[in-house]
Amino acid sequence: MRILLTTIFCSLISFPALAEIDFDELKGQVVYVDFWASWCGPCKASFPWMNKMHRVYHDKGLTIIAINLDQEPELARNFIAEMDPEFRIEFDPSGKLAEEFKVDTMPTSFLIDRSGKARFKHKGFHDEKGREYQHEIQVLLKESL
Amino acid sequence: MQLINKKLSFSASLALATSTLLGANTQVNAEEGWQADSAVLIYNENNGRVSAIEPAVNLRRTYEDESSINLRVVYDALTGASPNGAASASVAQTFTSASGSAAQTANAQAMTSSSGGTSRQVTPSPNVNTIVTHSYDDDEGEGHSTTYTIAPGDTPLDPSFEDSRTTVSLGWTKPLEDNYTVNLGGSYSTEGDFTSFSVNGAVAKDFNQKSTTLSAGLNLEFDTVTPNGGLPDPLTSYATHNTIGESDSKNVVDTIIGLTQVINRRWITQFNISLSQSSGHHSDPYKILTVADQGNLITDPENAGNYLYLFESRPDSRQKLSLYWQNKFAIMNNNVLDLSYRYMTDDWGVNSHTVDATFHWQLSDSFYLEPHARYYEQTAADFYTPFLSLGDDVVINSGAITALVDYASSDPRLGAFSANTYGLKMGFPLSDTRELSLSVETYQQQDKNIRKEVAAGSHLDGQSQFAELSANWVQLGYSVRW
Amino acid sequence: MNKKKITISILALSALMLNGCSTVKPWERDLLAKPQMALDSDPLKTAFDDHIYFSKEASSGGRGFGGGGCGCN
Repeated sequence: MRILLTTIFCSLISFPALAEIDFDELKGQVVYVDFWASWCGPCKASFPWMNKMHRVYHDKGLTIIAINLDQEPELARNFIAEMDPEFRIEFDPSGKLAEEFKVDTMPTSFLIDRSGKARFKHKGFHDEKGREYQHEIQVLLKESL
Repeated sequence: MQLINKKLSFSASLALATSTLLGANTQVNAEEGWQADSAVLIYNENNGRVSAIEPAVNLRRTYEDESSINLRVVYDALTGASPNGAASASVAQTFTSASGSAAQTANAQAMTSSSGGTSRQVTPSPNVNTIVTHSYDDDEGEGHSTTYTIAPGDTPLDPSFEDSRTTVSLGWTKPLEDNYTVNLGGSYSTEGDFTSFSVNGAVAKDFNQKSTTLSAGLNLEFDTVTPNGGLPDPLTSYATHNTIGESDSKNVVDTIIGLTQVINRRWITQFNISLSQSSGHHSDPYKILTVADQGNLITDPENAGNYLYLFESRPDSRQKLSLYWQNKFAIMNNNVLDLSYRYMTDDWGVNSHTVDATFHWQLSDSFYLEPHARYYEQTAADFYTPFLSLGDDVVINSGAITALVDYASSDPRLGAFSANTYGLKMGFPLSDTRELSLSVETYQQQDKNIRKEVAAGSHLDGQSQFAELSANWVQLGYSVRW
Repeated sequence: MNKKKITISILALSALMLNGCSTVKPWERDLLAKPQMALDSDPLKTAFDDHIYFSKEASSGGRGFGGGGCGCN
């Protein structure tokens, strides 16, 4: 049954509904918004780190939203199947959200505090910066609304 | 140790050192890890000319900071026969390559006879009508002379062509702050009579969210040639074989500036300007030119019983300018059209155009085809000539040979010709990290030289003045990442 | 080829390219990121071919390096 549904889903050759993120609804959470694509090497390196952050800080109020910018749905699907993200994935193939956020490199991520204000922007992803980013998350989580 | 006529080897190392090292360090989305590429080239020329087999291995290690180190080792084994520069004639011609011992003077005659040790007949190679005699001159225990006879109407090819060469190259790439990337590398190549050493460096900077890249590179090369039999005195008698030393050198400075621009989601273009300055010894020590009187071969005044041939001579310096433009177009999701054009001009009088087109056709995740076509044409060097004319290019007064020209070469590489290449590459990605490929190509030159007139009925009348090369090659490749 | 024409073409092309606006968004580099869109997608094959042509013809090189790809980080 699951295979059948997957097949039907895949045969539609389209993305799931375009990302509509209600940031108002997310107030009170620390939100990590990440723009990624399957063809981006550093994005692949960032997923295990984001999984780790999700596991450690989700209960403490961290919401990770990884917005996919692939143009070919199958490539995004394969990437997701391989990297097995535990956090929320949204799709933005037209790049509308990326445009709004003024994404200027791949990947780009934003750390939004509990009041809804964007406090940190990460251009690209480097393994050695992981600790620094983690510290930023901790700082924002400690802040009250 | 058999004498080897190294046509290919002489400046072939340059190609490997410059054209590849600068490219070897480019990487597209390099992920941390290792990549090993191995390939073998099997090359064959028609009409019994050169054959080569060339295995190569490239190992790259990319680090977390996106810097990488690259090691490449290439081994070259060549055999076969190669044009010695003499003109094909309606009479048989006999040539004797210099022995491996010390410089020869008036005793040149002795070279053609089997002095000292044993001599043996070698069976003629299938497509070349030659009879090769090896005579061993073991006075110094090194080398021996090779005599071969070319049948009337055949292009004179030296059949004792055999060589092996090893090249090792090392490169390092590192991305720096502010969107800079730096490359450094070096290369060393060695074979029997030729060694080459080079160092290179390059810098690139990205602009406009990495859609524009400006780059600049420098390559310095130091070559030493130590020909078997010594360095021949240019434009003097082949049979006499006067030498002017044991070895000589050549230095090359190559500079390149480039601009890469992503035009849109489907189109990337690159434009490069390269300047090359080469100083030192350029003449091929094994190449000669026929001297003809109204088209008839003449006797060497210094060596009765031999026809007169002179060693070639090329200038001490060469400046080249190349303009290169490449475009890649993404067609649908996975196909690519690659179109490039190169214009080259140098101060030897050679101008060339190269047009290259490749289409990458991704038929499935595990199979692709790449048909390929290339068109090339070049004009002849100013001093290129199929043979020397007595009276115009060379005069003989009372047995003394005087060249009236400063430079002369009949090396087909410097002649006027066009060439077509057609090929097909088949790629078999076995997984995300492994790929097998097979490529076959065929190459054919067409003579575009102005015919040098000779008297009717003379030895050179009706003879070919340019040996059009046709060759085929196969490349097998295997890559693995981990 | 006319040297003047070449110069004008180069300048025109450079002007076109150095036009400051980046018309390609960072997330529109999906096709450029594919290995077949690399400027040199098979360096060993290029090296072999260059070696052959250098040995048989009077021209060599010209190819550059740098640029293209996913443009990540």
